[in-house]
Amino acid sequence: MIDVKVADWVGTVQVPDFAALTRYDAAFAWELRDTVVALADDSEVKVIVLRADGGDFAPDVPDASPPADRSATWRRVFAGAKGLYQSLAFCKKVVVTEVDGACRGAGSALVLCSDLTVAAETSSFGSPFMTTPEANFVLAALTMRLNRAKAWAVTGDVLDAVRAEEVGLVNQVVPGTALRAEVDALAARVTAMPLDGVTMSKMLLQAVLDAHGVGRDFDLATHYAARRRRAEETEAGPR
Amino acid sequence: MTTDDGAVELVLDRERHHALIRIRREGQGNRLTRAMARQFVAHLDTVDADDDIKVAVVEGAGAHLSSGWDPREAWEQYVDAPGGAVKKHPSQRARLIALDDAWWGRNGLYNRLLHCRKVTITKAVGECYETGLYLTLCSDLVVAHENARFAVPRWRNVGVDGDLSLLVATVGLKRTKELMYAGTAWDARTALRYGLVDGVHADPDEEVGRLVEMCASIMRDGIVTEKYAVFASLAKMGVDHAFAAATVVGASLSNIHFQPDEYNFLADQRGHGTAAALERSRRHLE
Repeated sequence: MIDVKVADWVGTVQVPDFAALTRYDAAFAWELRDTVVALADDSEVKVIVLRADGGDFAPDVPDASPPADRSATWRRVFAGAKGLYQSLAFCKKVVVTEVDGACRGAGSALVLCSDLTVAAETSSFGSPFMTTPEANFVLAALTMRLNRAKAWAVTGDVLDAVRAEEVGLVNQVVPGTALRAEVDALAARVTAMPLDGVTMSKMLLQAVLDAHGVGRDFDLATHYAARRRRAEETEAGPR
Repeated sequence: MTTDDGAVELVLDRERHHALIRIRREGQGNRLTRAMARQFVAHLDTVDADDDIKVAVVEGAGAHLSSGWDPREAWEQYVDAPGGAVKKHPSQRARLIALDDAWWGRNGLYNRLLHCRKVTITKAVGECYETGLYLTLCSDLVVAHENARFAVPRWRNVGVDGDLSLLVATVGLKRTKELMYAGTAWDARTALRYGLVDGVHADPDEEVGRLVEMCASIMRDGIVTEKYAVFASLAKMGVDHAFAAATVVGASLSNIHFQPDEYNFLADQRGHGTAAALERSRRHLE
């Protein structure tokens, strides 16, 4: 399901789409996490590209919800310090997300954790905060600015590609036919930096993210998940 | 000091309550040396101590604000620092002290400009690279010429060795990363859209003059009070922490190993001279 290719300092991770993360498919998430960690440790890799080849980066998953028991597996795979999202946000290599079509739920959480994002003109970005408690609001505030991040979280508005670029959520918007070539060109530009420079630059960035409380916000995922579960139970009424 | 060595001049106009700090090294794109950085800091001390001055304007003579620090000092600055010449290669402490003293520390250029008690206005013209970008980030107001361009080409050669907290706070996280990793240069309109500059003008002098006049009309207590409120916010934002991290990582990056196919600026500079190495290492910005 996860196809990995390494060439010219770029590790490309290709999947049909990332909706399995919104569905809390732990096997998929752990395999993706292991792939990212292996590429981060690979001395032949400076850039990791996350790519979906199924048309949509992360299509909507109706009624998606974190596991009811917020199990040890959920914490280990999704929410924990060694889970998928923190492995991406604090990755030692530069992570690029290539977004085509719908980007919803966990897809938007991936975009927030990645360093650079190139989007097709027809792509759109749903707020991850309604469905994905592991989504990091501090990253959203640092990326889009606080007022816009709050509006995205509260209204659940879907941002089209142009708006996503305007607010700083994506770096580039390109025609769909040029998406792959633009991502490859961007990744190639990043590889001009020395390997040691890439890793140390990421360490410098981690110090800034830590100071802003990004790690602490990841720690709160358990509480956000519990709150969401209680809200769902209240909505459903007494059994 | 010869013209090629460069100088930073200070012009005080107490009657109109403003100071002009001008970088003069036109033949070298106003690239700053450590001596020029020290002069700049001394001028900021003078401005801060002069109760008649309310506003300080920063500009470069000629076509550029500043196209960076002087790469001829890239190695020398470590050798000259305390403990730098003890062995063949400068010690780690010398590298840390050099970066702290000249740039990121309490009395370094960037920290000192950021904590100036008067209103600071930078006129961003032409190349605002490396040092030019940080003068922009550390000023209160930035007036850009239509031809202004902002970038840190050195990061592509060695990695990111500058503060990120101001950059993230000013333009946002993903745009910061674009500047960090993608070797991007932002033109004046992009810089305006991202919030890095406050205005873009065909004649920036006119706009700077208007701002100077406006700021000079504010009462002294008001200016200093607002500046101290800003300093409190900067502390809360962890800017000191980020400047210290920039010093630590910058010192480490002066010591990196290059892979066989990676570009080594210092080796290029040794082999082909500073001008050729600068041209080659910045070609991607054209």
